[in-house]
Amino acid sequence: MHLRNITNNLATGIITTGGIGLIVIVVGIIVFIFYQALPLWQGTSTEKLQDIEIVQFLPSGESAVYAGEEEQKEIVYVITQNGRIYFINFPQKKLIGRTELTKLNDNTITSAAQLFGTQRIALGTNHGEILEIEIVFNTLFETNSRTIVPEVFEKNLYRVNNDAPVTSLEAGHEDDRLVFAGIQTSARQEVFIARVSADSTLQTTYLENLSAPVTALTVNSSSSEIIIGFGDGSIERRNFDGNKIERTLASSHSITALKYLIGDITLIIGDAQGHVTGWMTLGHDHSAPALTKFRTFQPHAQPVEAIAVSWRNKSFITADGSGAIHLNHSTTEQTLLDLNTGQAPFIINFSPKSDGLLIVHASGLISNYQLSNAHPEATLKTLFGKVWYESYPEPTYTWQSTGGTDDFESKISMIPLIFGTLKGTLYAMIFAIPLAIFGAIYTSQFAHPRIRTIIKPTVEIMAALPSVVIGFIAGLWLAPLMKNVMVEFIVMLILTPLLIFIFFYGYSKLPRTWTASIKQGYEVFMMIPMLILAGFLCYQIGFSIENGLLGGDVQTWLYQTLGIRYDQRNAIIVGIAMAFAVMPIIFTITEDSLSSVPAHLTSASLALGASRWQTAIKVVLPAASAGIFSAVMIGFGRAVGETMIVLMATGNTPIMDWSIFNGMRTLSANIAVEIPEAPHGGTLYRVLFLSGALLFIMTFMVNTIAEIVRQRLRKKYATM
Amino acid sequence: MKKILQSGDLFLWFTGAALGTIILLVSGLLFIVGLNGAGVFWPSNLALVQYADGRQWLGEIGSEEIIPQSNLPENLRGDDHTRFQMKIGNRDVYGVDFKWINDYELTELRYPENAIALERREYGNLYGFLESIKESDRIIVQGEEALTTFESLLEKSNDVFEQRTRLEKSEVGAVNFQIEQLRLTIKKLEYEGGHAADEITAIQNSIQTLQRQYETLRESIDELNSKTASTYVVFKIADGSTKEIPISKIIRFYKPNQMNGIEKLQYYAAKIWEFLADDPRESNTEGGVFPAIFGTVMMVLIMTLVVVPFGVMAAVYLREYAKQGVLVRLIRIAVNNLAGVPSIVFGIFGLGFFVYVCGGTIDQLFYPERLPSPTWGTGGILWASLTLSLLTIPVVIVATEEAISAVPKGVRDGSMALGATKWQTTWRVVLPASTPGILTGVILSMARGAGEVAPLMITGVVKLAPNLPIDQIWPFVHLDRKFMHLGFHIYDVGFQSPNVEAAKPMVFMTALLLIAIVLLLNLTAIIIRARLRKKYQSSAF
Repeated sequence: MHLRNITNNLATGIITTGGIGLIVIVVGIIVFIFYQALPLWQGTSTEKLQDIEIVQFLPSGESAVYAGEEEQKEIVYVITQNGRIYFINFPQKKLIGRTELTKLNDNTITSAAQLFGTQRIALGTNHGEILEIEIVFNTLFETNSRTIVPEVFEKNLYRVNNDAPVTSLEAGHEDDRLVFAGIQTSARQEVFIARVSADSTLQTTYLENLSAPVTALTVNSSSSEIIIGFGDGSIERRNFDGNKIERTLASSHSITALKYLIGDITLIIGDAQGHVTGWMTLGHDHSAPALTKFRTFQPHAQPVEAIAVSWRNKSFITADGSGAIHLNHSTTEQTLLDLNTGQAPFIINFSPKSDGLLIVHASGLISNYQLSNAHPEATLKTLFGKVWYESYPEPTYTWQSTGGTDDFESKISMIPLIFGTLKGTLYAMIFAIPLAIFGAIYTSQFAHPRIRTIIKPTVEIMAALPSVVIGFIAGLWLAPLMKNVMVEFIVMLILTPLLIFIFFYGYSKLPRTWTASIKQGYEVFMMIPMLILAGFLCYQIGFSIENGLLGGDVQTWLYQTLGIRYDQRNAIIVGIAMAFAVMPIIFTITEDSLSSVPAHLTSASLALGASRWQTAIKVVLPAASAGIFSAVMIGFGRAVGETMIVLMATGNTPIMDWSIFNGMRTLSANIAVEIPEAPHGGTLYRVLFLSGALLFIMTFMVNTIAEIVRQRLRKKYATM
Repeated sequence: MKKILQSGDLFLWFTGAALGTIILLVSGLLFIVGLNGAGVFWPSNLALVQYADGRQWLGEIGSEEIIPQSNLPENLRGDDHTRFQMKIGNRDVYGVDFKWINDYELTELRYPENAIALERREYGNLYGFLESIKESDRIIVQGEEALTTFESLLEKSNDVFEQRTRLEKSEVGAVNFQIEQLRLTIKKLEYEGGHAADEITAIQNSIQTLQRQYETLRESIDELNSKTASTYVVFKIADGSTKEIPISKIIRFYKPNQMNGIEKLQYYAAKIWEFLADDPRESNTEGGVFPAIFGTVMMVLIMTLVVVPFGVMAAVYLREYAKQGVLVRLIRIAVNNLAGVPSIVFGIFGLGFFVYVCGGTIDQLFYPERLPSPTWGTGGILWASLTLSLLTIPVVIVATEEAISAVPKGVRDGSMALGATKWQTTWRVVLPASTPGILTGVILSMARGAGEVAPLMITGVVKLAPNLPIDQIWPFVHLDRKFMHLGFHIYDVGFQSPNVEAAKPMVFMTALLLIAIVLLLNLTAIIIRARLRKKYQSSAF
């Protein structure tokens, strides 16, 4: 007796927990998926790691000309104008090493340029020399500790033709050889390009015909150009031989800073008014490629003094004389961080992994910042808006998440995917809705009950067919076939209804004694051979049309006459295949709601002399319309989320094009294609979770509406 | 005319035609898969075709079609010409497996009596004529007698191959696995620190012993290999050249043009058996799908083990225990919605939650020494099964709810009136009465699970798994292993393999198998349901 009650209570407890656990799981799934996508909107944050007064390490009179740090952000090096390199362990605030550059011969360093992506630095001197050095950080592991030991290699000392001081220096490379561009200032300003030749000597070209004072310059290694900014606000592209390619007016004020972002496509220009803009070389139709402004960033209040570029992504830093520092992301045009240090920065630099910021102030204060900026490329605008990407002639919606190289600008617009999803669904619904609803009307209203016992299992089999099989048949059997019978198929779509009408007309003219052998409710058996016959006729007609009017090959005709490209795996294939997958569910729900219309309604209608058709269309359909609506909604939900069919029956190219002859990429197929390649926690991973969440929301809304409508309908029937 | 339209019979015809189309679509699809699948292993006759310019090909004749006008030479434009596809095999010679034979170039087509088809371990089939058999460089037999010698030699060679495979798979596999385990133990000891130097040396010693075992095994495998290594079979192929094939690379041969119906049937049966029971060969385009069948079945079983208790519990709660109100309505809508959520969404949930969160945590807690290479923090059969159980649980809940609600209230009241507790009533009366209904739901969910691919692709299915999730190595069941799956096999072989045309027959066969499994499960469910209805209709409740 006692045990019995204990068991009963225990069972109640377990079952209740299990039941409530279910709703927790459902909610949990939603929450988890959103939670995974959430960090996309986490802003950028910085944390000041350390401040060090550099003066405490430097002898008086010695000041920094350049500074940088290694990957772990532990060791900062400071190069002084006297040619010494100081290595400071930042966390310990300790000087750990000092190296004297021997090749300098007591000359002073007047400018410095770091070669992108490396720790190779070119130093310009007051005697027209350029010294190339490389700093190597060796990591040593000893019992449970790790030490980083810096080492300096002095490479070559190059001599520019003229021995005036090199006051500004930029470095790039042409193939594997270094190229320098710089300004020498003595009595007058001279701008040079210097190329290192095979025997490690420098070949200097001085630029001529400079129309205004040069205020900034930079080197584009990938296209072997140097970009010169002038005091009158114009910029000029010249090749490495010094010949002018083009000149563009970029600003109404003096250009103060120029820098190429990773990939050497986007040129960031800062001017004396504080404007920061992004430019790229773009060809317009038939005119020669010219620098074109395509991005604008938050302006500074004072002239832009320095630009530093990330080695990892498309972000960059701009700084002005007042100490305002902006961290911008090029693709998004967002200013991720607006930092005001209060004093003029002298040198700014990203850490090699772009997770930190090193600022050397004119006062000698070095600040080291930690940056946490996991997903700078994802904003509402890049996800859902038009973005003008690098090398694109205009703003577009594009999905291309990964490219071959690190400097690829990832394009993560969801719009082509949402478009593809809707397109696929639309074509599926075009095929599925008429067939399923008409079929259900026939089954529930006109078919003999005995036929229903055949139809129901047929539809159940259809529903049970794995989508991978449907997709496989569509992609490997139907798509190659459709390529050959495209015209025939379209003719079939148009002509079959007409042929049915003709058959019907002929049938109604037949003597009654002939037609009486087909009982009411069994018409469908007559339809099947008729459809086959209609199909055969349409095939013949289509074949004649293709050979007669379209020159025998419809794809060539389409391309040459209408300019339409024909993809083998196109929207028609997906439409048919996906219609196959959603038809059973639409059919079943429609049939259910039609047959549960109370029988007294139909009996009354028939008794009043209405025909079977009139009863069906005027009485049953209106009564069950809500059920049909919910059937369509649920079918829609299924089509939106279908993955394998779309994956196999389209080319999965994320294009935006309503053409029935082109493919698409849907949200669901996109997840399946890309998530195996997406690193856990990366931007792509989170964007894919976001698209999962979108799918979830879409289907959730559709299903909930359908469910509510159905419940109302049930209540309505109950009161009839 | 007006009268005809008014009666509406025309529109009735349209609805009938729509239904007819649906029926045609379903039967058409089944027919295509059945036709293409069932014919795959039938040994078709080998035709020798000759072109006017003297070129010859030997192979199996496939489908025929009308040549598109644009593909015809100028002087033949306007006429209708046909071409047929021929499987010419000999991939190592021709580079491709198929060739279109144009009727306007064809001069002769015959079926030579002694044409021979060879199934090989590499490069697909070879079609040709047996010339001679060579031992090293010496011809040992030639002409007519070569065939009997070939037969007996092939039998020996296949024996050797089987022995070798057994050695490699079970014994070498076991030794390798043990070595790997011991290495991981060392790693663990080192990770934990402490003073385990002695233990580590002991383990290193046993690794060395195992290594020696491995060497001996290797030697015996090499010895087996050398038994057949020097035997070559020489074939003449259609273009007149000869081709020497090492006998160890041959699986079987047949002469379809000499075979009668029964012999062909025997061959067909042998091939079907191979398909069901063997491992795949040649990047899944030949051989069998046994690992995929095994993986599918095992995954579905694990899924069922999870789904049945939880699904039934949830349904019992909703029908018997919960107060019918807003909460229950909410749960029902949630369950219905769960059934409508796209399977790929479950997939990413499975990847994010089961693989990365659960698996990652397990790795950190129990296998930190193996990181960063994941043990549980990567796709595996357990995670895939759990993901699928989320996907299929609504099916079980809905079916169980229906079955429970079909049990008349009087039965419950009777039980309660006799003094039974609620649990006793549920367990002894309600559930037994609804068992067939629950069973239907379970079978339907199994069918759904067996056919689903998208979520599995990202939670643990691979194109080729070296080991089954169950083997003779302790702990026998390896739920962390990746596995193969019939549905994914279709996708992978049909769409990812480099030689799609050659892989197609295999894909059709696999599709046929998958459809058969799914339909069998569905049919069982339909039958159970039909019986159930009858029982309820005739029962005295």
